[in-house]
Amino acid sequence: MVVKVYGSTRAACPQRVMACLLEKEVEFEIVHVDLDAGEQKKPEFLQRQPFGQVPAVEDGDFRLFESRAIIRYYATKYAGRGADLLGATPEERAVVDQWLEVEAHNFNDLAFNLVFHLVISPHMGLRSDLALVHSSEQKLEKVMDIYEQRLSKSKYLAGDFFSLADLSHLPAIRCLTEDAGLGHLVKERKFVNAWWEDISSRPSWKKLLTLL
Amino acid sequence: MAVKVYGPDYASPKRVLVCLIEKGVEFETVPIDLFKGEHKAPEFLKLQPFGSVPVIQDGDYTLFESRAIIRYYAEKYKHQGTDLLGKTIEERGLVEQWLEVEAQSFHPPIFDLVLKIVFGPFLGLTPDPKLFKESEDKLCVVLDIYEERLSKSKYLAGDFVSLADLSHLPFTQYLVGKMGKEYLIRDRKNVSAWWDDISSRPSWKKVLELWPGLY
Repeated sequence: MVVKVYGSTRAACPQRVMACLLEKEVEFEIVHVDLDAGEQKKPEFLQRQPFGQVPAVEDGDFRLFESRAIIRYYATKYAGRGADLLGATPEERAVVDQWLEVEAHNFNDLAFNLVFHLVISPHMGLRSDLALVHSSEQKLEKVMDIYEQRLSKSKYLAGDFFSLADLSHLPAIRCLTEDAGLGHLVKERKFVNAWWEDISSRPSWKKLLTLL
Repeated sequence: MAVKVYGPDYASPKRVLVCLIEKGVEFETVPIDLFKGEHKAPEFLKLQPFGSVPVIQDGDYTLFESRAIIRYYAEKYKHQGTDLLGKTIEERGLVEQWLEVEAQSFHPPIFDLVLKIVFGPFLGLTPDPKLFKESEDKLCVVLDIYEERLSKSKYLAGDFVSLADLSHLPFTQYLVGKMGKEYLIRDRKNVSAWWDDISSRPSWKKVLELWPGLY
């Protein structure tokens, strides 16, 4: 049975799930949710995801939301198929979880502020909070410095293997570099740049970009 | 060799402490004084480059981010102590879902309230009632969703206690304490019953007894 992914191909969190399903060679179909029209806040969708957010998945009778929970679920369920995204040992898996938590808590909110005020607000005709943009950019620079240090010692975030932790960064970094004009965050850092070049040239990510 | 847990006096490390007690894993704690800036010292940054607590050391193995640490020990000692991950891959998926909800939707507003109301005076921050209201409103939206969920399910992920429930203990404990915000829990029948259940577990009582912090 084909996994149904509720969301939009243009939204970051559904992209996180789609990238993972492509890596794990799991067939899926996208059930489009019209975010511009606020479909995610309507009663019917709230039955599926009570916080009114995308993505949500439906896999037969099983339903799940929260993109980082969904990717952990499929990476575990299909551990033997496609790319191994969780490492080979419990210790390696925990380091994957560690950097996935870092992405969620130290990286994501700052990246979201920048994308929201530099890309989404103008698109929706809203005023951007430039002070927030400035402070978020400064904080994100410091975070990227820590990533630079980590990636100077480790090919990928969790070790010498590509994992959910790296994958989780793909949607936001694509948006920051291509849509928000903040490519310097990556390009000015030798190891971050090499890492970005590597992970963004994976066939599954390239395949996803054709779906946008 | 016992696991070392850094920063036991603060909330996030308590996520780890309660989990280790549930799993029957021996540990020792290493105090870190955030008010003295010990988390920004070079030796600490070698362990945790973002300068946050907790971090654990288990022999040669170092790990940070409390929710990564609890997942690790819950999995590593799956057959020991309380099972905190559910029995099937699908049950684990639901545990992950509600742990993400705690991290993404519950944590930011409650952290903001705790920072401003509990820690504000120590940090010289001017309390801003308008900022309280914004975070409190956001927290209420989340708690209303929990109320609905817990009307159908004894615990967040199902009929079994899990990491998702325990992850709420440290910051919610502030809420029902000196902050004067206990009504946020008590006004909601199912959330209130759930809170009483999880906070009366012997593991959490032990944490409160040994590391009362600013509760």
